[in-house]
Amino acid sequence: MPRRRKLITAMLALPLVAAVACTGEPATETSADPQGQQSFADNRPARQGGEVTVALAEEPDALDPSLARTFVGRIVFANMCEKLYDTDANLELVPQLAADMPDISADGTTVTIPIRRGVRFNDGTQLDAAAVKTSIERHQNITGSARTAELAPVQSVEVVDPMTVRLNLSQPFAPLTAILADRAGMIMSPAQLRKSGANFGDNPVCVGPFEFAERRAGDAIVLDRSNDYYDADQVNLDRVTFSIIEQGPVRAANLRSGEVDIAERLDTTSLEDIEAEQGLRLYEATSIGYQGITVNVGNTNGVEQPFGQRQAPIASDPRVRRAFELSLDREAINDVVFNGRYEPSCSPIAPNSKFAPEIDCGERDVEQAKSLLQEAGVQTPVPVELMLATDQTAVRLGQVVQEMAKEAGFAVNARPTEFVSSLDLADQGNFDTFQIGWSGRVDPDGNIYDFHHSEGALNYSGAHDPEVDRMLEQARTTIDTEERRQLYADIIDAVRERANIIYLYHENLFTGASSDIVGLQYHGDGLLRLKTAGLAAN
Amino acid sequence: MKSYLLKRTGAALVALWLASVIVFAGVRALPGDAALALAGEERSPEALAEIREKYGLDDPVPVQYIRWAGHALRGDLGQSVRTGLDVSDTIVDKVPITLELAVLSVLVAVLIGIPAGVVAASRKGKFADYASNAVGLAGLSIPNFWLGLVLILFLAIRIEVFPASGYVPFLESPLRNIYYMILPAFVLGTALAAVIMRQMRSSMLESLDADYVRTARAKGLSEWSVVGSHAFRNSLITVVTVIGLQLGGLISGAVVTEQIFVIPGFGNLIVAAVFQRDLPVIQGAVLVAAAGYIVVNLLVDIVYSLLNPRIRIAGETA
Repeated sequence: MPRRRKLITAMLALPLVAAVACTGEPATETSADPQGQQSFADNRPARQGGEVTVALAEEPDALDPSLARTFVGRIVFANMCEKLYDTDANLELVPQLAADMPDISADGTTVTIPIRRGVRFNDGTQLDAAAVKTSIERHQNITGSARTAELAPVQSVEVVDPMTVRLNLSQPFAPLTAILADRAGMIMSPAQLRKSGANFGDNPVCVGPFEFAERRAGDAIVLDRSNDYYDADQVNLDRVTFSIIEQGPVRAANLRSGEVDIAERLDTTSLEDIEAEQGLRLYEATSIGYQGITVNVGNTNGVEQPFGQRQAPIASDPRVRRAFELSLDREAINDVVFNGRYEPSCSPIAPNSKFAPEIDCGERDVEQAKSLLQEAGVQTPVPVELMLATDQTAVRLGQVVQEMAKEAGFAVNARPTEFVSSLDLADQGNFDTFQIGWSGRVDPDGNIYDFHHSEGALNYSGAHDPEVDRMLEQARTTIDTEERRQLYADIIDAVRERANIIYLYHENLFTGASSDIVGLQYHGDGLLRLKTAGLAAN
Repeated sequence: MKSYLLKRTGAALVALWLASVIVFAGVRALPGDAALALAGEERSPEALAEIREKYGLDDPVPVQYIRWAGHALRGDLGQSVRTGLDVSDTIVDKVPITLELAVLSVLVAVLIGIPAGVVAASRKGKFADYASNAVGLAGLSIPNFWLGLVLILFLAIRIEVFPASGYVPFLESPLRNIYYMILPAFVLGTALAAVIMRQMRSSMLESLDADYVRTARAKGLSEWSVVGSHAFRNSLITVVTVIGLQLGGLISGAVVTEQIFVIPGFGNLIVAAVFQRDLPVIQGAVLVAAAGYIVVNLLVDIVYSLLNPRIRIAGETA
């Protein structure tokens, strides 16, 4: 038993000690590379061949586009499973395996997609419309599919001619192209599907610059250069090894010692050391996701169950929630908790999206918060229980929120909870407020609908308002971009008013890489695209 | 003899069965829904229902247990819920890695602990004794995760003598495999080295006081021969027993060490599986670990009984 306890204590203390161990020393060297913090631009040519090792922050789940559920898995897919559409550096949708943008009928219910010609899967077989149909239908039907919900409006897939498919929808569905730019748009080799069926993930074959070579559980995933890729001229590397290193400080240490060439999602606490290190550079991208505090207003019986009215003051009166928001200083949170490295925000849509509305988040205003509380007639201090993650950053965030809200008359009680347990409590409606975020989707619908619609799968706050529901449905069935933009601006105003989710900031994603690496593409979706990456020619 | 063996084997089987029940129930007592853990961000009610159905999570626990135990008896521990990879294959891959780490760290511990213990005992009350005691105390008190991080910082990042972390399969390159294992084995071995050093010191002191050592000295043998052959050899017996007892502890220490040095071993597998609620992996790995302990204990009992008939007879009459 004592040994057990020692072990648990050790594991709990690890991130703290690690952070201290890796940042304790002041940086003495100055960055020799003035481009160290700049992303993308690099005109040095790459040489042919070579291998790189990429440290991933988590272990990907099944490498099967129909079943895959993790963000980290998408990083691996981005290099071996191309999709009908992709997002470019400006987060605009562009054709990838499709030959052109989809042709959407006037009523919005048929979507016709031409397929790129002369493309072969990594087993040498040909990509055609029939293969696209097979993949989309598998995404919809296979047991355990994670794609069912996002493809729900697709009623049937038709092969119009060998290189054209048509999707028939039950209703217009604006996010569809963005969804086809993610796993639902990945096309699997029909020959391989026939061979491996439900075990496709053990040996996935798609179209991509690299092909799957090997996976060692808990350790690494290895991809080799594809011999069948249609755009092979752009590819430089012979091999990419994704190595799983879950501890942030350990990931940073491996990058600094040169054990790995690229390390994704570095902690904000390790950035100074990386910047100071010669021969390394930092790539930065604003995440398309968000972080915030979800307030439980009506989730009394669990997410799938009928709503109730919670009795806590912060649940029953939107003025109390607005007072809570007014008591928080987003800039100060960013400075104190994240070394000023993130983007303070009060919107679910990241500033780099074309749908991002112009919003004035307002300043912290303790006096107004106090008067709102008085107006609401609640007894102060108002008790608020805040559920958050167990890592040091989350705990620090909790402390800062606690101190700030205290001045306005809130007694915040932070409750650090192991991640899966916290999801469970949120799902059951057994929480008061919950610090949680979302990794983000390119289409704004993916960042808003499920969280604010009364029937949304992730409506942890249990908010339910027919007007908001109607606006959300209208926004996802409106095809015109300008019109949608205005609809989302209105939706954000409405949900800020009811304050069931208090948005705090957008994370910035930091990937460190050896400065020998050129041509690495790193956008706001946080995926590492190694297609054009290579080792700089001397 | 036969009935003793049967009895011991029967007891071992019962222990194994109990272990499997406890593991199975324990895993299900973990807070947090496994389906939610697996669903990741795609956790719509439909997706959760599909997952529960696919992995039979909605069935009553006894039904789930019988299904799992039935497969396990045939050597099939199922598939990882998270990666879809075969659990038995994964465990077979991981066990040798952790065993290698454990063996190397015992080697490190022996190489440090035994000479230090001998020196301390033969220089009792002198500087060398105090020094090795102090170092030993430090070795026992320093948590190995901290030592690991400090060593990475200084020996891998400041001066790049060792790799910061990672693992190279032995078959791929035996030399690089050992090179990558040196730091972790050292970190894991230090605490054991301290234990060995203290044990060595006290049993050496005992031996040095014993009559046969006095006789050896009286015969006029050199100090080297007295300490080296007579006292040292007799002290080793207890030390070897202690090393054996500490092996279990090494395996659990390896859990933390593997995390720091990113060694894809058994410990890493279990820790990751717990955080991801990967039930088949946790069940399979803990069952295999329990089976390992039970089999080793059974073998030890049998060997003891062969060496010492009194145990056997007592066992038979009991």
